[in-house]
Amino acid sequence: MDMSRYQSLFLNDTAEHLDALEGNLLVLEGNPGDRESLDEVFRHLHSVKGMAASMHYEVMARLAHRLEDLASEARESGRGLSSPAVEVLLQGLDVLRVQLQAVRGKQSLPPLPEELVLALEKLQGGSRPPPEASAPPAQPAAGSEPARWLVEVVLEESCPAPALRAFVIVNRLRQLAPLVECRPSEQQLRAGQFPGNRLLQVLLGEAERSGLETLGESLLEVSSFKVEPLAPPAAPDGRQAAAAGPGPPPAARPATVRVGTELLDFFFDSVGELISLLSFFEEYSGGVDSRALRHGVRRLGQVVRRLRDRVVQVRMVPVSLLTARLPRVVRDLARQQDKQVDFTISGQEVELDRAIVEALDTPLLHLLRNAVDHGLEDAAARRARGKPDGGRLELSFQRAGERVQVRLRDDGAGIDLERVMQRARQQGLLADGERPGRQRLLELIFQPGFSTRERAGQVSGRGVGLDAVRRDIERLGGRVTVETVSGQGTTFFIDLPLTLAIVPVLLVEEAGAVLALPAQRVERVQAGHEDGAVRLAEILGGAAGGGAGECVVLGGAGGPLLRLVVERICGHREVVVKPLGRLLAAVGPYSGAAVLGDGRPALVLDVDELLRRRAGR
Amino acid sequence: MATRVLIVDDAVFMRNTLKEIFSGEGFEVCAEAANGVEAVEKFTEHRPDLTTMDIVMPFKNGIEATREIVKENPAAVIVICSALGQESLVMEAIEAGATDFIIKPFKADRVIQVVRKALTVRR
Repeated sequence: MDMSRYQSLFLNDTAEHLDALEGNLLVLEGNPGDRESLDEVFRHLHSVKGMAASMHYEVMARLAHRLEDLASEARESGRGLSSPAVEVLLQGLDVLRVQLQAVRGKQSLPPLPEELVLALEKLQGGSRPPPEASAPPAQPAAGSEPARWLVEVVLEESCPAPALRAFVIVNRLRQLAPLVECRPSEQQLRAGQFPGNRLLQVLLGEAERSGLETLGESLLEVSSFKVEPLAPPAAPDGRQAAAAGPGPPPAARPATVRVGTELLDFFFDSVGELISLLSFFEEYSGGVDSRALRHGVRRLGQVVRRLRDRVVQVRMVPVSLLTARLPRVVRDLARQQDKQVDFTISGQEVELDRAIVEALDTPLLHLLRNAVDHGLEDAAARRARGKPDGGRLELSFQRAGERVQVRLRDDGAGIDLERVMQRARQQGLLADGERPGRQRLLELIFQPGFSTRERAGQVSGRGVGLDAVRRDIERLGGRVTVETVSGQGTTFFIDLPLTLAIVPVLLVEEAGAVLALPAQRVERVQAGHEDGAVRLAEILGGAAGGGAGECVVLGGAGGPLLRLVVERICGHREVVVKPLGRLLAAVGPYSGAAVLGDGRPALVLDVDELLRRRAGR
Repeated sequence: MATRVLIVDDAVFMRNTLKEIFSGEGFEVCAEAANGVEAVEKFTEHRPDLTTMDIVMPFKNGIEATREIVKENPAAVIVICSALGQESLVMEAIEAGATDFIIKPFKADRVIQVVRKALTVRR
């Protein structure tokens, strides 16, 4: 049987099982007696085995089978999984992931790594027979009742009105069981359409098999009628969702449809252009004496903004997409460093624009590595300080109005501000006699090339990542700050917008160009200038125009940072910002580009880059 | 005991054709009706094992009649007779409670096949 059309379903479902499996294993590592997690481990491996077997990926099915045996033994003996067993299962999971990747890339599956084979032998004592190659997909786990049935009906060639016949069949089936879905859809059938080869598929809820089969016998114009039980869909398990800390991602999911991200991006881009056009019409209609036009534009604005809000919502994903794999990363880091780390995550259900969640990956990982490498002390040092052996690492997400607040806290050694000051002096970031305040020192650690680490740590290099972290966060329209108490710990605060691409900006004109400043960094605007104000054109390397100009005061976490003078302030706009790409981005202090309502492009300025250039002069 | 049939159609010709088909198979035609109102009356009076129902009829159409009959008699077996091209009407009738359908012009063996199968459907 040709299974290739199930490929994408197989890839997605298996990946989900593997992710959930990882969560369960991490729970078991901390709590080997957790029966529920062990049951879940068994079920996930069982499902993966079945699916791989039906897709004829023998090597994968065999591995899953052996891992399943491990889990099954532990379940039945009541002893739970031993620590080496959990380790082997985690290794096995990694190999399954590698295999899945190979399948995805249409490559042949690599053989199992030697050490895994040896480890399995040691734990199980000899190999087990491989599973049946023809195990049907998604068999219900032993003992559970199938809550869903797939009925497949093939109509006779001679059937004169297939849509009608199919309609009758669906109707009869409905009397026996709740209808989940059918293909062709009810709508199509009602419209008299029956695309496809006379194959009618009906997905039903709970039913008696015998009733379904009897019904099959009473049907006309049918050349085949098959009833198949399906495993219940991954049901939301209230208990899973309640597991705090490094548990599996929130399990409750509403009815969903899978849509390619390309399509979503297209919707989003289109809405962005609509917003631009709307802006243009709003401007234009303001200057034209036509009530009808203004009224129309107002209505248009309502509709477009409502659409925009929904499309933005579509791009929102829970942050768990990113955080689900962090516990594993932290665990591995801790092991490498021979440290014990107690890592908890809260607020994983908070939703953010997909692009932000994806872009948050690198800076978060960096901060985590820093925390494990530099922040947290080893067990001995901690005991000497009267702290519990295991270092505490807390990551939390919280929605605050139109922003999301992320907090990463560790109870480690804290940042040594004296050393920061010394280092800053060494690097020439501080004048000799300067006595910087605490805030200034905390800001200094975000400077490039700054590190109090003399030797590169094995894990995070020189610890210079903080400037990269700040740049990454600010590119997203966010801010990052830090607080620390010597000997007690450090907390990083990241403040992020909910959505990335539609950004409020302040448009300005300078030296013949229209430029955009992120509204979030604009403290205030004023006519005329103050001392210390600098012409924007000068920073950009162009010739300044004449005229008194207007002033924009830009700020940061610590207050006003830069006073810019421009020819004219045009006003606030909402624009869709597109990234520039590395080549163009290197041309100047620009973080992206936007298209205005009248079709003109406006480069968006990177405020911190502007600051750096200003300082460089 | 022979299966008792109620034939509902506004055309005498159609009723006669069906009568012949059923008699030939040993069914007993216990009553006839020429419109939806009569259909409900005759059903209530005779309680047939099977009813064949035309759709387009004066006073009350076959869909309405089906609905009324099935409401009072959920186990009623009603087979809709329809012309080609009236599929959506047939679907309405199915939703109203009809068991199955036959498409005119009738072929005797087809009619019998549909009817026999319809009679096996457990309600």
